[in-house]
Order: sequence, then C-alpha cells, then structure tokens
Amino acid sequence: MKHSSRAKATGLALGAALAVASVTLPAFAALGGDATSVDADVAKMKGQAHATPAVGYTVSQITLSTGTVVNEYVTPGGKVFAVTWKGPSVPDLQQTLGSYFSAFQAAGSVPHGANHHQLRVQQSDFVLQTGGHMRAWRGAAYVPSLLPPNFSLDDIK
Amino acid sequence: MRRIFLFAFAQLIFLAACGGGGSDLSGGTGSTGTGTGTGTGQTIAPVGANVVQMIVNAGPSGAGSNATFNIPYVSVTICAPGTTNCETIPDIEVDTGSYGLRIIASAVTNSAVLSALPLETSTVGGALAECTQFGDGIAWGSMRTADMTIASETASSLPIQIIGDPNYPEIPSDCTSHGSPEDTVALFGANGIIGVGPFLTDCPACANTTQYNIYFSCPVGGGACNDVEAPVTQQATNPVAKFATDNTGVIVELPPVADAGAASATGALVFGIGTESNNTLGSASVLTTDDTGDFTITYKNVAYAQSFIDSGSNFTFFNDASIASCGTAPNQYFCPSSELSLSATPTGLNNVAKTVSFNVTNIANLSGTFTAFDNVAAPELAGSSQSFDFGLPFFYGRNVFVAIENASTSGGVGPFIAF
Repeated sequence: MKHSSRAKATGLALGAALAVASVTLPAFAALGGDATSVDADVAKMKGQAHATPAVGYTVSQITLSTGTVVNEYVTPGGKVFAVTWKGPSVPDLQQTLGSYFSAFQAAGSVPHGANHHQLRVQQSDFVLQTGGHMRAWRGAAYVPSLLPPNFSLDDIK
Repeated sequence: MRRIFLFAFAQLIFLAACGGGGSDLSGGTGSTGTGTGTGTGQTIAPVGANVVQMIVNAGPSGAGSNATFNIPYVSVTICAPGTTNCETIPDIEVDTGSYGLRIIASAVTNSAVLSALPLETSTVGGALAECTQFGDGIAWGSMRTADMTIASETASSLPIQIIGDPNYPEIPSDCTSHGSPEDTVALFGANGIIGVGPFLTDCPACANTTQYNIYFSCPVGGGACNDVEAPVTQQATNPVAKFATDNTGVIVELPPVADAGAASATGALVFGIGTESNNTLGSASVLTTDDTGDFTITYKNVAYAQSFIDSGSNFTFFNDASIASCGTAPNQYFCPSSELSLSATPTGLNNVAKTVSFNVTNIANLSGTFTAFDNVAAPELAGSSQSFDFGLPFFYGRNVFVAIENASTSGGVGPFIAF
C-alpha cells in the first residue's frame, strides 16, 4: 500500500508479476538459509506452501493451520533474505528465523520496558520488527547483506 | 526500551547541547477530577465503586534498570476463591490489546495466597499451563483460578495465569520456539497485566486445536508439559466480562499532558459502559472492530486496514518515510527537527470515521525522567506493515471506551472502540 502510493515503477511491476504467476514450489527454509530443504520445514510448521515468482526473487508462502501466513523471500540463488508473518498465532520463530532466532531471543531476554506489542532488533546484518496485539500478531525480518540488487524494503509485505 | 531510550536521549542531548525539558518539572503530574481534553471537554471519573485509579509512571522498577514510560498501571486484589486469603498487587499494566489477568509469581509476596489458588485441570488430567504469545516474547506459567477484585468489582473464580510459577519451571520447546520468556518483574516491566480489550478470552480457537502452542498440560508437581486443547471456560479471560455488573467494557481515562511530557499522569479505569451515571457514552463516536480488534486508520491518504488503538503500546507506530528517525539500536524513533502536527482517521467496520490530530516530537528533546508523553512515535519496518498502531499517546486528554464482544450498550453491541 505504501509503495503504491509512491507509484514506484518497480513496485507496480512486481505487483503485476505477483498477480499473474503462482506456481507450486515447495522450497521453504529459514531466514538466511538455503531454500533447498523442503518438506521437513513445511511439516514442522504444519502448513501448506506455495510459491510466487516476482522480478528478481520468489515469495514462498506457508499458511499455518491457525491461519497465520508466513512469507519467505528467496533470491534466485536460493537464499532466504526476508521473512514476514501475520495472523492469530506467532509462528515457530526458531524455525522461521533460523540462526537469527538467537538475536530475537537476546533482545527479549534483557529488560526492554513493558510494551508487549512490539520489539525491534536492528543489527548490521539482521533487522526485525514485531507488532500487533493478541489475535493479530505480525512481524518482519531481513538480512541486509542478502537483499537482491535493486530490492526495495517497501516490497516486503 | 526505556534503558535504550535513556541512552539514546543522553547521547543525542550531549551532541546537541540542548536543554529542552531536562530538569523542568512544569509538566507535572496529571490531575484527577475534571480536566479539559483535546476537542470536547473531558471528565475523569473520581475513584468509586466502578472506578479505580490508574497511573502512568516508571512502573515497579521505579527509576531502576527497567523503568517504563507510557505504561498505565492499576492495583488488583486476588483471593483464593471464596476466601479472605487475599493479596493486593500493585503495578498491574492495563492493556486493551490483550485478554486476561496475568501476574508474575514473584509479585505475589504472600506464598499462602499463591499456593491457595487452585490449579485448573486440563482436559487430559494434568495442570493447565499457558505459553502466552506477545510481540516481544512469551510468558509461561500455570493457569489457576482466583477471585479478582478491582475497585468494588469482583470476578469470581476467574481463570488467571501465574507467570513464572516456580512449580512449573520446565518450559516446553513448543513454547520457547516462539520467543524468549519474560517471566520476571524485571523482564516484564510490570507485576502483571490486565487484558481488558474488546474480546472475552485469549484464544477461542485453542478449544479445538493445539496448533497455536498456547495451552499445555503439565504433570501436577512438575515435569514435561505437552500441547493441549483448552475450553474457553478455562482460558485467560477478560475479568470485566465476569463482573456481576458493569461488565460491558471499560473506559480508559487519562488527562492531557504538556508537550514536554509529565513526570506521571493520573487518571482512571472505569468499568461498564452505559451502566452507571459515570460511564455513559455521551457524544463519543462508536467504531466497530473486526474479530481481532482491528479497523482501518487512514494516514496521509493511505488506508491501513489492520490498525488498532492500544493502551499497551507505549508509542504510536506507523509508516512515514518523510519523518526523520533516530535512536540507538535496537530501537528507532521518529525524531523530526521540529514538532509535527499530524492527523489520522480511524474508521470502524460500521463506516463511522473520526479524524484525530496528534503530534510527533523529537524524542531526543524529551526529559529522561518523565514517563508520560503524548507525542512519541516510532516507524514500522518499511513496507512490512499495513498497520497504524495508536498507542498510549492517543489516550491522553480523551476518554476511550472499549466494549466487549456481545455486550449490549447504548452504542450498540461490542466489539467496538468509542471516543
């Protein structure tokens, strides 16, 4: 929504690609990992997956039985460079964030106020923000060094 | 967040050699009684049978390492059901974005009270426990029942969570995989939390599935816990809905604060909507929500469909790349060079819209010793959100009604937010 308001040409092109193409691609893996491990991850999350190619990357989407949707953004080389989630349950973030889960844990394991609706982690090679409220949680995380060329953060939905 | 806020504040104020707000207490504490709000006049109800004092201050840590800001607190009394074996617990965070009463075990200082709270028995025969999912981590602990009293209102045999219950220290991996435990007062920033949002329980779907990884069954006396379905009658429950009267919702009432903020702000949490002379809707606009508590908020001509108003968010969180941000990792804040006057328009599912003005200031210019600010905001991660989260800054100077699902009020049936 934000990017469309800016009428970014790249954003519009990607939107068109997302609208027309949807193919079965079971690849699903943790942030920073290779999208080559397949059914084990989907099985652990107990969800259903499909993938949607966009210009310069692919979005693998897994829908959990709770209704929470996890999106994984995958480079042409098969690296997961960003993940998002949204829905009534917080997904298995150890699975979703992979090796970066420890950074999320670390941020939550030191005093950080009493706002239990958001947490932000901003490191040189890992950025995460959670938000929402009970019944509607969401979050997004990405690895700056893995972003594809010309990728706009506005395209992380 | 406060610790980092202070650090960021100190760092930036040093660089700027700026004297703004530092030692000036003129913002003072908010006043109780009648005040003038933004727009229409605001009346804050005096403490009474259905009114408890609510205060925004540094929280249970005082000025300690996890001092909080823009978090409202009340006191609640819990008793072993049907007895006078009770304890009053201060510094319970008021959250309109969650459901149920949760108390950190260590905040119950009378062990005779804690041990007398009956464990709930899970559907498979063990002790019911909960892994509460929050945005910043998880809270693990037993589910017990208590008679909860606040002001003169009582919720009898209310299912509550005892976070960090020492009798159930073994957190299952299906729980820790969702976040880091915040099971102490120092980590939680409060002695507990009272979720008084517009719904009855925290996970109605958990009655029929274990896939949320929220409810667990533990061997009584300790041991490994397993996912379990939990009937809604056993779930953490909005206490207001269990009151004998004044059970239709709450009003969060906080006074206005000055641009510089205030050392603290004292207001009221009022129970019931349209049940007493002090909780009438009056001219408030009623905005109905979806089945999660969301509605649309439009900001700069963009409609954010998953938006909400939440007393438990201590900033207002939204997207605006045109506003400068700053702050020390891991937190970022909006830091415009001068205070901005902005507006946004919440619109209910019933298409009732009400535009509100709000300010965003440079957080670096605010006092590190104040705890109440109506003009602090922070950016969402670019592109990732269709949400505008009006946090506690929204609440200063206006009374906000939160009506519970299925409750009948003069403004219609909940769930709705009115202001």
